[in-house]
Amino acid sequence: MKPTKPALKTLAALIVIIFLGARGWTSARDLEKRSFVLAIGFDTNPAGGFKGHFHIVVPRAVTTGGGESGGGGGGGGGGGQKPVLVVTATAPSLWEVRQAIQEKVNNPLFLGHLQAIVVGEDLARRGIRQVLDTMLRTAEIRRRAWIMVAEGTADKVLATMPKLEPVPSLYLARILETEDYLRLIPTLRLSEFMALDSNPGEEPVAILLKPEKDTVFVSGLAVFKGDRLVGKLNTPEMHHFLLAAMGRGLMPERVASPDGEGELVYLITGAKRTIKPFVQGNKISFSVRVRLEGNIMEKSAVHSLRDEEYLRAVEAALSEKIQRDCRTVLRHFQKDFRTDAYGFGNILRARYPKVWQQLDWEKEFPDVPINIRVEAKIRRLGMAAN
Amino acid sequence: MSKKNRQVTAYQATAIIANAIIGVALLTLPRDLARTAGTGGYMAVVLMGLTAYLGLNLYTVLGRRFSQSTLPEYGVKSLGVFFGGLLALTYAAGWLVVTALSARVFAEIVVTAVLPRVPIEVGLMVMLLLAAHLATQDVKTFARVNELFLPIIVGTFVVLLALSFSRVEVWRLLPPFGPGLREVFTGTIEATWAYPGFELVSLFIPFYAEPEKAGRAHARALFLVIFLYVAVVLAATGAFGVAELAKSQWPTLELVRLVGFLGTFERLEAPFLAVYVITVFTTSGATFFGAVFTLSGLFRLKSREGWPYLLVIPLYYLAIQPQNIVELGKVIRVFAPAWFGFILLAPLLVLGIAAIRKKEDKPDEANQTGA
Repeated sequence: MKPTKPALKTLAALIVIIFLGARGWTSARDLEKRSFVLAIGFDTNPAGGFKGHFHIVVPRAVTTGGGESGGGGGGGGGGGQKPVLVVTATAPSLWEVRQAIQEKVNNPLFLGHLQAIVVGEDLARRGIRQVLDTMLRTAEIRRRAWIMVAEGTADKVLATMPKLEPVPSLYLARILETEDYLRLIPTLRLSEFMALDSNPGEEPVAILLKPEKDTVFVSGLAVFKGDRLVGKLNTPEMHHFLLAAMGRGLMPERVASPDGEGELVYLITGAKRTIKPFVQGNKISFSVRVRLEGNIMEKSAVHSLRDEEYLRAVEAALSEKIQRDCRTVLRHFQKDFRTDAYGFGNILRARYPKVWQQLDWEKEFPDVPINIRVEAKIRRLGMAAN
Repeated sequence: MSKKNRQVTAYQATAIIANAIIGVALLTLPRDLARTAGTGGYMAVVLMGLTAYLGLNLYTVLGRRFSQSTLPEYGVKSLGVFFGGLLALTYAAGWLVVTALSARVFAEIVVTAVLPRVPIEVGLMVMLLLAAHLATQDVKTFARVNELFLPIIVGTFVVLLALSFSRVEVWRLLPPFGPGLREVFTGTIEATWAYPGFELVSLFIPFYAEPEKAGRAHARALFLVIFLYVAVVLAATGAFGVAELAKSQWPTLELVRLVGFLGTFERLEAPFLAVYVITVFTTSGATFFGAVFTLSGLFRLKSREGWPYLLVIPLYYLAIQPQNIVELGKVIRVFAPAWFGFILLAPLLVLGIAAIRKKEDKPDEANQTGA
């Protein structure tokens, strides 16, 4: 009896496996029997509801397209077939949009590789709570996908087929990754956007994209209040916002030479930002200190930078210029957008929880005195000595 | 039961406790704590961990006093056949409920996040059968299984947590004491679901090869668990913030989905979930083992081979009872504090009565105890 027991157990296990296998491993799905969605875009539908655009990979076109752009210079006309197909549908809700798109595609949609979510400006102004909610509920969607706002409508961004990358959805993700790598923009992926939206005392921002004929570029920053777009920043404004808000946004700064002759270009290589809240009685204020490091990488000024006094004068001029610009942008946020994307509220909540609890931050923020101080230091002069 | 083979090493003891405690709660703990204790959630974890440590020490003391008996045996010795038997039955029932609930939570995750088209019944049944299979093994095998899995479980979680700490925004962890001490104490109630499992040592102490090392082995296990829990709670709170965390169904899974490694390795939820299966298996397997072991000891059953599989049927029906995920949460929120209270107070009671009635295992009794 004894030696047969393991055999019986193995047999039982085998029967169970075969039985389950015969019903089909229901969640398994061959790669070639899936329609991969790499980017999605949402717009408002003039008649109500949503207009959704899905970037669906055309497998064969991706493989041949990649080879072609590597080999032949001509590109455009040769392949003919585009590597992704933009499928559009309108419906009152997002899942109905998905369903409608599914009906136009042969294989089941798969959003597990989603790279980018593009929201049209109109929809962003109306509010994207519903979009975020669906994203949170759908397990398939990656939290690492980028969320961005299109200037104009999302379909224009998705319809552009940039030349540099065979798959345009990857191009969208790649430009943001590059800018993140260059520390121009903060890492604003879907998860971070959702966290900023949910948590009190923080408001989200998203990258603004503008489509051109053959490319898409970052044209600034979309400023949100909760889930609603309330304003837009252009690139220099974005730069000055990010410096003070997150110690990001490293971009070149151009300043006139203090002796009046020519100009200098300062390349920021590092930014540190500290925010200190002050509470006295029921008066709240903040002081922001931004410490910048950088190199002079271009100059038309004649005066030599080996002159320490001159160097210090340049530093002072830079600090003053950047400080002025940062303050201007902050005033925009306080007076025009009335939204605390800097996260001052969050810091107040963290440091003075009791004060925070009795506060209507949304009302207070526009009138809170906030002082930004910028100190720019020149560290190096590149490979040159003067 | 007659003479026990003293074959469980100190390390295996650590592994058994740590694996039995770390279970399905790992995935929901940050959310439950964020909802009640805000940023002070980690304090609730530590407080509850220390409470569990007290409870664990009670079992260690009992195990020293009755150095030849397991829990059902010394229950009977000190409380008499009726009350002792009742106590052992309550333990067995509690462990079975924990098994069922763990399997159900596991199946819910599988259905929601991994295999949406697999019926929940399959996930549930697979986990229960696996647990039953572990429950039919002897103590030696059980200890070895735990010994093997502990480094895999802890290693994976530590690596994933280290990665996710790169996403932490320190301001989101403040204020350090949360909204207030009262909220932290409310949070400890949520943490009661995270700590049961340590009471299983009461079955293994008489099998220890080196009983004098029991105290240290137990402490090591519990502090490992506390460390892991605090790390999970801090990482999740710092990455998401309290308000966002409160919205998330499986926050720890979301945390893992967030991280990448060197820009090349993404989708770390795959290894995470693979290890998570093991984690749930070692938890529900351990509680199932405990129940089967207790029942066989109580009814003097010689074999633990076939009949444990029959228990899968009632367990399945128990586990499938909650109609939706909200109800499942509610059941756990009612059951967990009661169960935690029971496993803390029962040993105190046994110890008190044993002291009054002067019951204990004398060392020279080693060869004549039992039936």
